[in-house]
Amino acid sequence: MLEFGHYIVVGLIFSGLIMASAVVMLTWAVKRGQFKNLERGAVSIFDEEEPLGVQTDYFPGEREKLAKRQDRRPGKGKNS
Amino acid sequence: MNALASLYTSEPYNEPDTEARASLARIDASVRNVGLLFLVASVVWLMIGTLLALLASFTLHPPNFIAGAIADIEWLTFGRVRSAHLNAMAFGWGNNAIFLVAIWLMARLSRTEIRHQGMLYIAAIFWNVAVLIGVWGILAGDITSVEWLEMPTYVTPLVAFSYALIGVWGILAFANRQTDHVYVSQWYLLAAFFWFPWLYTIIQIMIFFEPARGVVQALANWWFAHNVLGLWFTPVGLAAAYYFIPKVLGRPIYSYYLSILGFWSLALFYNWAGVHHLIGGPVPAWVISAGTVGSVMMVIPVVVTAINHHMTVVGPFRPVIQSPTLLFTVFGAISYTLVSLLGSAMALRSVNEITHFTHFTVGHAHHGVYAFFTMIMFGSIYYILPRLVGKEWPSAALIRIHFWFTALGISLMLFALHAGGWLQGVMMADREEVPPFLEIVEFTKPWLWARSVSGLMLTVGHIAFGISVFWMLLKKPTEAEKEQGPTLLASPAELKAES
Amino acid sequence: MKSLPLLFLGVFFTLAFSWTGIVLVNHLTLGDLEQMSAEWATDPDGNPLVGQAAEGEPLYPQLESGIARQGKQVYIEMGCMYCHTQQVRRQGYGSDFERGWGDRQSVARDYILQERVLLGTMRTGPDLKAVGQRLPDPNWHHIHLYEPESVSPGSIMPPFRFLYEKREIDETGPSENAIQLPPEFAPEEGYEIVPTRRAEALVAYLLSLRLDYDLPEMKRN
Repeated sequence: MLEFGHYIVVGLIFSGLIMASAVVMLTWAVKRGQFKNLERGAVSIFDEEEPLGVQTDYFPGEREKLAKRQDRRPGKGKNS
Repeated sequence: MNALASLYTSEPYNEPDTEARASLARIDASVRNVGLLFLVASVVWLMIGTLLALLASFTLHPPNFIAGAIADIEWLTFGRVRSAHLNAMAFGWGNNAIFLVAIWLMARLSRTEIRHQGMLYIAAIFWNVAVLIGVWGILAGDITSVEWLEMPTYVTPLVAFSYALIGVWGILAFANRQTDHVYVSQWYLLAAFFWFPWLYTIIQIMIFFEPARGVVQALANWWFAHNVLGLWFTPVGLAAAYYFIPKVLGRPIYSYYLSILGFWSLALFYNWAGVHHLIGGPVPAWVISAGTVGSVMMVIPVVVTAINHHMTVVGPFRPVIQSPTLLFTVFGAISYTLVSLLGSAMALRSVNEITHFTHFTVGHAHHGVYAFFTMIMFGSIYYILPRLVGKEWPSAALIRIHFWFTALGISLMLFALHAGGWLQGVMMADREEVPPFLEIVEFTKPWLWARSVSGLMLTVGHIAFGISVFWMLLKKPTEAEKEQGPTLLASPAELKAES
Repeated sequence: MKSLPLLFLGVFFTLAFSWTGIVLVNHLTLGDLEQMSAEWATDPDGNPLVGQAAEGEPLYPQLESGIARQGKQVYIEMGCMYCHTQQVRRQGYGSDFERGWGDRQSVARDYILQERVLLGTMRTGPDLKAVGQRLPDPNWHHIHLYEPESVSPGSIMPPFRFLYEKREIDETGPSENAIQLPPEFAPEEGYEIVPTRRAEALVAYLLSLRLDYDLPEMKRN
């Protein structure tokens, strides 16, 4: 096998290439607009059917209970 | 309608303003048949895996009547039962649940009804036949004694074929997407679906078909096995958490930028962690150090994810206890943080000197695959199934039983195995006293007994879950459900408006 | 983060990176390890020729006998690895040395002749890398496999009674192979316990597990 010193050189070249390619990919990604509009991505799972601000899962029967409670507390109606 | 026909609710929702809703309903409906196939398979395997777990656990401590009863039955010897349990759970329960959740998530996030279901049906059948033959083969004695690959090689072609179909389907589905945005869950799912076949193919070659020489085999084995956890189960669990937490709450993920950072740092570091299974072993010190480094660097994606999930949930706490999905998913997400931080600690040589080879490791494994992955899968199923069949879950009580018995059960198991395992490790590493081995064995018995008790609790939870699922599938939809779709698609305010 | 090719490249790269480091590099450095004499060969001046075997010296590790190989298959089929490891850690790390589990650390070269490497990750039971050295009596192994508690009180190892046959002692007298159990565990008058072929093979395999040789990279104390 190679001498120990050669391994270090090979290792350094290899890791240099990896770092360089990571920098290249990141720069390319930023230039290509991969990181624009990030917050748009976060809200992309909501739409008219299941809009922002609306809870979409309840225990069976829970929703009816909460609706009744809102009836009894007129000023405070909001699904908390 | 007979019970089977009630699996199908094909009447369209007929409310005037539900045109937008029909689109999501159509997407869900398109996933229904193949989704139910994977769901039923996953629940059946969950039960089989649970039974095998009880059998394995109860034989390791007094009272020994079970061990005595099966002592003459070769098929039920501990090494085989334990391995059958692992494979039934990982590839039976786990993978079927993954396929269900991934297909539904991909459909929803691509905003398109799924097509080419034929491929998925065939894949589902082949997959489950493969696991059935594989688990049977393990018990029959064809166990390979390669960790996470105990199923005999005659099932490999079935697994590979089934997976190839799913992989191709996934690529087609993604290519046909109707959204221009790719949500974070999709990155995790796509990555997982790329990684798994590569891992599986490479390791089948390197251990079975062209075996690597000596310890290289062990290195390859643990590169594979840990990556099944880190690059297959974990990404799918995270994909689900990243979708369901914001979705149920109606709030977007706290920081999308953090989720990108979390994804790529996981991809980079998790790969290297596998070597921590070989600390102290006959492998070069540098690769062990690399494994430790990878494991410790995992703190970055784990903390990032934890911040993201926590900040998304923080605020009024009510939704978490109002929603089955959130209960299970938040439990799972918190467990992800804990198990990963513990794992990073366990990869340090000094800690590993105590924990290696002990029940602590078994506890850690169940922390990940159960407290994190399985609980999130339960949460996902609680959200998905009603939307597939257009019905509400039949009983809140059953869901609560499921949650509490599994949450408390796994907590007990983790306590027993971590505390017992740590103390076992301390005794085993003691170079001064060198307690006799049998004394250490005696010491572990009460902890193992506690583990069996926790297993009984988990069993109760699983039975409650199974009852819920099959009751849900077999019950007829109510008039309200037929007309409006499952009422859980309406908020209390809407319900009030409708009434 | 919208591009499938970018994702694929990144995901492929991360996997390739770890596989290269963990598997490929070690395959290149350790994959061609050969059996070796206890000391390196030396050149005429007495300097060691690293990597070369000394002429005429026995080479290690040695291949186990045929029946031991068959026994390894039984070991695999019974899942023994899931409670027993086969690796001795270095002195000063853990208590492997103090427990007498090996006179030296086990190294990569010790495993090169194994087509299935059974390092193991659980020590519900003791390490077995050198069990043939510290427990050289086949009868001990037979009675331990048949009924672990007969020699290890409180053991949680499952009994492997199905690897043995209970037979009536016939008129020619007890079989040579019959295992000698302690009285509390012995069968009733007129019966004996005889190992099947698989039990014989398994015990032969266990006895073949030894670390009783030196290697240039790791010497015994």
